[in-house]
Amino acid sequence: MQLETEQTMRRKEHSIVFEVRAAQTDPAAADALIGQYMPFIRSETCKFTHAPIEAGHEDELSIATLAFYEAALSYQRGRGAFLPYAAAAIRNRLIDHYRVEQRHGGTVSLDVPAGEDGRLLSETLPDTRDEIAAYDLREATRAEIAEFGRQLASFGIGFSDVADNCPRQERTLAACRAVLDCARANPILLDKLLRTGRLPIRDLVLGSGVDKKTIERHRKYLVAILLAFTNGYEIIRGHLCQLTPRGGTRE
Amino acid sequence: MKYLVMETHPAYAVVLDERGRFLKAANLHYQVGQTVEDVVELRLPPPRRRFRPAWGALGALALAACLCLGFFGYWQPNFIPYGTLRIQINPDVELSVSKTDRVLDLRALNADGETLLDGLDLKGEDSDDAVQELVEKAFEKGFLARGGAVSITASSEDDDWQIREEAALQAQLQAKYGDGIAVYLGGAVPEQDAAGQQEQNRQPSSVPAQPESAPPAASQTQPAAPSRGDPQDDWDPTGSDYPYDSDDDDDDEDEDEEDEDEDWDDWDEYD
Repeated sequence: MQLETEQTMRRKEHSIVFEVRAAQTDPAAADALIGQYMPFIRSETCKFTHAPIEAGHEDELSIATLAFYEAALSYQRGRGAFLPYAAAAIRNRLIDHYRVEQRHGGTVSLDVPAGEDGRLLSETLPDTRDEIAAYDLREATRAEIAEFGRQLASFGIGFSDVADNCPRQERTLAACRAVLDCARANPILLDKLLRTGRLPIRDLVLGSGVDKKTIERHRKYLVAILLAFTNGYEIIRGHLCQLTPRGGTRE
Repeated sequence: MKYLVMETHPAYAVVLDERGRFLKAANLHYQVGQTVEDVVELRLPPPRRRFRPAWGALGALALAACLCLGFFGYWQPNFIPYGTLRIQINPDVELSVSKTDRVLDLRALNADGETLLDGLDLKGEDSDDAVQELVEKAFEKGFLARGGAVSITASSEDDDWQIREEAALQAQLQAKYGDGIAVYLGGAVPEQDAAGQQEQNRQPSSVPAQPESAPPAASQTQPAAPSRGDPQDDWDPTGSDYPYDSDDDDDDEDEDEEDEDEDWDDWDEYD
């Protein structure tokens, strides 16, 4: 009996190891893993907050979920069980979060009741924003992003892949920007990308002077960012104001 | 910095910052299309420290190891002077010798030495052969006759080597020439012999150079062979470094051990 439970335990441990390994490469598997272990994440968060999540600790839960995901990404088999590792990662991340948040300690939340009439503090402030216009903008943005995502998917690329593929070093980012500038100066290259469905690497190497290896390594990211500068995607392009060397200042 | 939320997942949201970077950040209940200002970025796991053999470094290490091996195993014993042998007949010749008894260099220390070395190429030869050849040559050229004296001085930082080399050369020359020549060690040639040699060589002008620095070593005596009957060094059943330590209890035992050792030695000799 004892032996049997031990074996099932071990098999269970094995299955989570495989799930974590799948999550390290596949975003969908990561989502599934996190959905499966959400109760664990909640319980670990509660251990830290000493209060139910619903009592204003939703951000902590989000941070804890991110920490769980980070733990899954960085977990190495053979260095201990996953769940204690994830628990430690969640705790550390929440401690970090609290330290960062302490800087805003002197501020007052807008979501506290103001006065006696039961209104929230935010409702007493004069409303300067045009909520309807903002909503329209957000809807337009969402539609544009959905279209962008569809087009990216036709290249076999998801947003998670792009984020994983995004250059992290300043120097690499500058190189990618040089590639982008080259493509924007030669719209033929953008057309070629759309027409052939592949990055015109040779032309870009010649045009930008960036090493071919760099372009190949960040292919997914470059496809995404070049796509954003093809026709349409006005809002995304407008968001990338720091990427437009001339447009930002003169136009 | 503003971030545009591009995609949301249970654990993270993909956001696009204004510099064109796509980032993963904590999903604080974001919605696609929302613009947010502060995000909690995903911290990527540090790059895996997998053992990837760096062939360059490994190759360099192997090369260095080979060089070290070559230097200490071949070059140093064969090509680095380890000691010098000085042969004084009347010609005064000095040989630089490597650890493997290879003659590296020959120098004549007087005019007769130059005459002796003339036409001889002993570099790279074994030092025993070289000395032998020098002595033969000295016979040929008339520097040495029967009854003459050869003085051999070995000097090195290694005292052991010095003693060994002198003894070996002496034994070798005596074996070859028997009583025909006298072999002196440490450069101490007795006066009358030197004088006699001068007469034999018919060259009264050249005085054999006596190295003043050379100590008057006990010549013609074989270095004392290590006596085997040393009970302390041979075998110590107690494992103690001090068999005669001051402990009262052990004294008797120690004496016993000494007897035992002698027995062993006897047995050894008998064997």
